[in-house]
Amino acid sequence: MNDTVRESLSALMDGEASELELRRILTADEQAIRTEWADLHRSQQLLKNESNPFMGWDISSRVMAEIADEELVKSGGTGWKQAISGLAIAASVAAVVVVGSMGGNMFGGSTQMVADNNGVSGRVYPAQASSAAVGGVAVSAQAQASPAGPLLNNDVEARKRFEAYLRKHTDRAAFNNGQGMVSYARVVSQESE
Amino acid sequence: MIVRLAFTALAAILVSAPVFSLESGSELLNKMTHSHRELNYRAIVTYQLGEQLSSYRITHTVHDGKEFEALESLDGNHQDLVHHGHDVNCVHPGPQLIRLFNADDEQGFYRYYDVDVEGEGRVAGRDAVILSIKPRDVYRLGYKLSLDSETGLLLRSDIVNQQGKVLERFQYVMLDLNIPDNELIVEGAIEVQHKDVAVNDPAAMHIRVWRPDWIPAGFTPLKEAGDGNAAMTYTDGLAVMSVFVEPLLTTDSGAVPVTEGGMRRGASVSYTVAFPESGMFATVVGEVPMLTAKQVAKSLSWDQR
Repeated sequence: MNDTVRESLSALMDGEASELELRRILTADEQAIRTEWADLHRSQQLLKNESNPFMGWDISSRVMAEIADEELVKSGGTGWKQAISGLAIAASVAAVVVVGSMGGNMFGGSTQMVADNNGVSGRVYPAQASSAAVGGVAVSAQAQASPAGPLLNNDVEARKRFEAYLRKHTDRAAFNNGQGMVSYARVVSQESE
Repeated sequence: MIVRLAFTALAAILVSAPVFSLESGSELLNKMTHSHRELNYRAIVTYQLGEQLSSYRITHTVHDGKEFEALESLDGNHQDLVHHGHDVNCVHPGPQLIRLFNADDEQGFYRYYDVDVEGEGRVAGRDAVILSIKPRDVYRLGYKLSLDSETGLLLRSDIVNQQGKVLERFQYVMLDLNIPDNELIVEGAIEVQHKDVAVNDPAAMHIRVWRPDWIPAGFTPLKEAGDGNAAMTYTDGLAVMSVFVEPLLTTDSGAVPVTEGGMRRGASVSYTVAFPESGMFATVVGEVPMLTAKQVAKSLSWDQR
């Protein structure tokens, strides 16, 4: 991460970042940004002699996992829009986590905060178009920033494939999920739709 | 004074005594994994998915050590399935993960889920015990199961996502445990076969040139009969997911007709990823969070040949 990004991040923390700076942050390497963001806040807290019990916590992976799931529930929008908004949200999640922990009340309000941030980051979606296209998600044992991809529920081909796979999958699952033959209701109910 | 003390002590004992002292959650869960294959019963079960509700008649009998099972749809088109000749002692890896351990071991299934007895209930006119099964990581779904106190049969199952939202529900509305062990004749039924045998043996692995580089901890691969090179299935005892691999079809313009993305229906999701450099695409299907399906699909790698 270069100094320009670092300065923008510092400005964002003071609530003085311009739109250009926001774009710069969102296109920068996400992991580095997250680490820097957390470090900035930690040092600020030390300077102010504040401390809170959540300082060491990082719930970002969990929050991102939930968002990845949430995104898909609201289907509808075109694929790239979803992918981009997902990425933008994921990028803002790190911010939410630190801000949330500073407030000390991150349990009651975390969902709301995510939603709020979503609204804020809405302004900068277009800037993300290029990086979203190449934004392959790294896969590891930890939950990574993983905006859910496009939902293909309305794609006829994809749906047919899903039905066929679900049947094959159920042949394998029925005696391993504790449910037995009832599992086939998943397949049958789909075909009679 | 003494009387009052004794009374207080007695009250304390009564209050603190566990409601279900005989069977712990893990014992009941263990029972659930085999009772549905060993008993003779007929049941009406509803399957609810969002606003959609469908109902089925399930018949299960065991005759000469062989299972017979039928699932008949009771509304909409006739869609009937039968499954017979399954050896009642045939062991499947999923139940083994639950059976071989108990909750105190923190092993197998119990390493990845917290199992708690939530209370008593009544389902299909039967007394039931409600178990709450919560995943300990973000890669699995949660379950709320109502098990028949007498037999351990799964009378109701709610699959809930990480946010606690119910994704689908199976619920028995009628259960008859006194039926003869005859096989039923269901005309026009489709014969289904279970496609898994036992825990994977390394010998069968050699022919497969692809593998996921990442699956969530606690998922065990199944060995399966047939199309071994095109599919792999994993289970953690309750959740099952399958990876399917197919060659990509290239059109005249050379475009790849497979779009990356997910599908969702009830608790089942799929995620498809194309691997143009290998000329293949992979789809992960299962009752897992989308995040899991996606990460597994993206982690696939091919052996260099």
